[in-house]
Amino acid sequence: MTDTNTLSKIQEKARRLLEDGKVEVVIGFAAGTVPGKSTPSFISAKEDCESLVWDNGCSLNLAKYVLKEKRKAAIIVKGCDSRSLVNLITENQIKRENLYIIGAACPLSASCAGCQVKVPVIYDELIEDGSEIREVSTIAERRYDDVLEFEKLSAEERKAYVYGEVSKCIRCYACRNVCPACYCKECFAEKSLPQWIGKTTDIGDNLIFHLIRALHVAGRCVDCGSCQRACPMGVNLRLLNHKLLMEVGSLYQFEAGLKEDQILPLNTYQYDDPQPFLAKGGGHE
Amino acid sequence: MIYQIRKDDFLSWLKKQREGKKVLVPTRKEEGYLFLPWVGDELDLREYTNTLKPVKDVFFPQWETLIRYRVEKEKSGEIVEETSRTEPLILFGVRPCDAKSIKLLDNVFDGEKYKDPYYCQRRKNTLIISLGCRELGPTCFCQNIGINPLSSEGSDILLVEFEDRYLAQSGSDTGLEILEQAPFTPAESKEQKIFDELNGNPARLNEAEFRSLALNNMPDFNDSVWEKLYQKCLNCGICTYLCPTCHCFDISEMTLDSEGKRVRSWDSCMYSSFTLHGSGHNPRPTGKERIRQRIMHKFNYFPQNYGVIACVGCGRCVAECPVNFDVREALKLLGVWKDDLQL
Amino acid sequence: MNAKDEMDAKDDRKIVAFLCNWCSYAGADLAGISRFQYPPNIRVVRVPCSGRVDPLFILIALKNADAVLTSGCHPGDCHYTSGNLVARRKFSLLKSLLDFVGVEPERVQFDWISAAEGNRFAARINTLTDQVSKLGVWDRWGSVVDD
Repeated sequence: MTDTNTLSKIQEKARRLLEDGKVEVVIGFAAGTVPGKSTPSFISAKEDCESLVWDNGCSLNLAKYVLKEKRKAAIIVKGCDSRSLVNLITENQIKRENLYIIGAACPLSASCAGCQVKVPVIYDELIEDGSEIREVSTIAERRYDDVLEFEKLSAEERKAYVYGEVSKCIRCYACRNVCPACYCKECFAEKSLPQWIGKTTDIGDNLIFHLIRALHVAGRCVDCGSCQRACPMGVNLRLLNHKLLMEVGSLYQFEAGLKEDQILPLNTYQYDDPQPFLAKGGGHE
Repeated sequence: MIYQIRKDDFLSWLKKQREGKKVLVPTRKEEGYLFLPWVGDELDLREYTNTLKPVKDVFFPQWETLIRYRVEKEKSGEIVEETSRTEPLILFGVRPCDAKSIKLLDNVFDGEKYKDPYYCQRRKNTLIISLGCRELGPTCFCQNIGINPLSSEGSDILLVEFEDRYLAQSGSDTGLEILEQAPFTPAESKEQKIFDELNGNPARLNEAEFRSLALNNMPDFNDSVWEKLYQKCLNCGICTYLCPTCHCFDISEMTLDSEGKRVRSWDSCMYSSFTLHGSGHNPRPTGKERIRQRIMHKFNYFPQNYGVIACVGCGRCVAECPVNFDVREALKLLGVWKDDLQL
Repeated sequence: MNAKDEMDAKDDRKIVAFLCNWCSYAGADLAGISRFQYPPNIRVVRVPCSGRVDPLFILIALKNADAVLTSGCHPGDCHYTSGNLVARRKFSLLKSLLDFVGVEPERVQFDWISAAEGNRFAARINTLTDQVSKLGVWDRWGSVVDD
C-alpha cells in the first residue's frame, strides 16, 4: 500500500512546517538498512524531507519519541501512534499544543489482525488517501481470536505454553522500551530498593515481569504490536495484552486512545463494578 | 595442514561423542537457530547463517549462581556449596565470528590479570568445532572489519563444507590431536588447493587497518556527532545481550530468611540503571552517553586495553534492533567506517 | 481429635494474607479476641488499604507462598472512601490474567471482610486453607524445578 501520492504529501507538509518555522523537528521514518525495516528519523533541515518514507517498514510506534523530545515537533502518525498520543495527552505526559500531528492511514500491507483504527483519531492535518475513516467513538466490536482459542485449552496446557513462551525471554526490555505506554522513570523491574524481581532469566522472574508489564499497560494498551515486533526471541507478548484488552472492554466498556476526554479505566471506578474475582459466598452477594 | 572427512563419517563421529559429552548443535526453533543439546537426529542447517543468541552464554551464561550461603543466629555465615559445572561439552556449528568472540572474551575472563574460575572451567571443558561461512548472511559485516569468515581463530577445529566433505583445519593443539586420528584423514594437495582458494578472498580490510582507523579517527568524547547518533535508540538491551563480545555483568544477592545465593547476571550499558549511583546521581543520564559508551568500548577502549577490536561483525545487533540502529551507519558517521565500503 | 490437633496446620503450606488496617485486619483481631479457631497456615501482612496492594505484591508473595488472600473493607465502607473501589478494578484484571495463564483460581483469592466479621474471617481462613491443601504442589513460578 505504498502510495507515492501520500508520501509526497507527507514530505511536502513536513517541508512546509520546517520552512515556516512552525516546528523545529519532524519525527518520521526514513529508509532502513535491513529489508522490511524503516528507521525513525528526526528531520530538522527542510532539504532532508525527501528522505522520509511511508511504507510497509513503518511499523514502530513513533509516539514513544515524543516523550523525550524537547523541541517543538511534528510527528507523522498512523492509527495506533495517534491513539498512543491521545493516551499520553490524557495522562499529562505531553502537551497537545507543543505537537503538530500529521496523520496518515497505516501503510502496513499486512496490518494487525482485527485492527479497526488504521486512520489516526487525532491530527492537525490528515493526509487523505481515500481510506475509510471509521467512526471510532464507539467501542470496536473486536474479537480476539487468539485469546478465544487459547482459552479452550486446559489450565495445565495454558500454563505450559506461557511458561514456555516466557522462558525464551532474555530480559532485554525491548518490549518495554518501545512501548509508548511504558514511560516510568524507574521501572519496577530495575528497582533495587526493594529489588522486586531477580536479575535472572528463570521462569519466575521472567513470568512476573511479563504479567506485571501486561497489567501496567492494561487499559492503556492500544495494541500497536510494537512490543511483539521488537522482541528478538519471538515471545508471544500480545496474547497477554489481548486478554487484558478483552477484559477491559467487557468489564468497563473501554478501549484506550480513542477520545481526548477519556478517563482511563484504572484511574476510576463505579460503585457497581463487577467483582468476578470474588469466590462464591464472598462479599455481600 | 588441511584434513578432510566425509560428512556422513563426521556425523557418526559426532554422534559417538555424545557418550560422555554433551553436544550442542544449531537447532532450528520458531524464533531462529539456537544452540541446543543434540539428540542425534538429522541436523537441519539449510537456512543456518548464525544462531539467534551468541555462543558466549555457553561460557558466560546470562545468569549463574556463584555461591550459596547460610547465615544462622550467633554463627558466622557459611558457604553451603560452591557451584561448579564441569560437564564436558562439544559445540558444533559455531560460526568463525563467534569463535573469534570467545577468543576476545578470554582476554577478559582468562586474562593475565584476572581469571574467572567459572568461565575458565567451562572453557577448558569445551571443544569448539566451527563451521566456516561459504556465504554471508544479509547483515554480516565481518569482512568489512577485518575478520575472515573462514578463519579457525578461536576454534579447536574449523570445518568448511565442500561437496560431500568437510575440509578441516585445526585451531588448537586439542583440535590437531583429533584431526590426526581416524576418521579424519589428511587432505590431498587438490583439497589443500581448494581450501586455499576458498580462503583466498578473506577480509576486505585487515584488522590492523580497521583498528587504527577506530583508534585514530574516533571523534572526541564531547563531539556534537554523538548528539546526532543516539536519537532513535530506545535503550533496550537487545544489541548488548545478543552481542557475542559484550560481557558486562552485575552481581546480586538473592536471600530468603537465613539462606541466600549470589547470582551473576548479564547487565547492559544501555540501561540507565547500569551506572546509577546509590546517591541517585547518574553519570550517563541519557542515551547519548550510553551509545557513546557502547561504541567507544568496542572500538576504542577494548583495543587500547587488549590490542583488538571488540566487534566480530556478526550483525546480530543490526538484524534485531527494533529501531534499526545500524552500527555500520554509526561508524560511518563517526568516520571510522571506510567510505568506499557499501552498506 | 483434641483442640490442639485441630489447630495444627493441615500441612506446611503457607498462605499470605494482605489485610487492610481498618476492616479485615480488625476482623482478624476480632476473630482472635472471640477465640474463633482457624488454622495457622496464614501469614498476615497489614496494609493501610486494599488499594495499597499492588498486583506485584501478590505475584512476588507466590514466589515463596502457596496462596495469597487479599481482603479489604466492603465496597462503600473504605476508610479512604474509594481505595477498595479502585483496587477492585486491579484485582479483576489480575485475577482474570492469572486464570488465563493457568494458575488455579483457589491460589489467589480476594474478599471483603469488615471489622465486625470475626466469625466470617475465621470461617474464610478455614475454607481457604482447606481449598489450598487440596491443590497440587505449587511450583512457585517454576522455581521448584529450577537449578
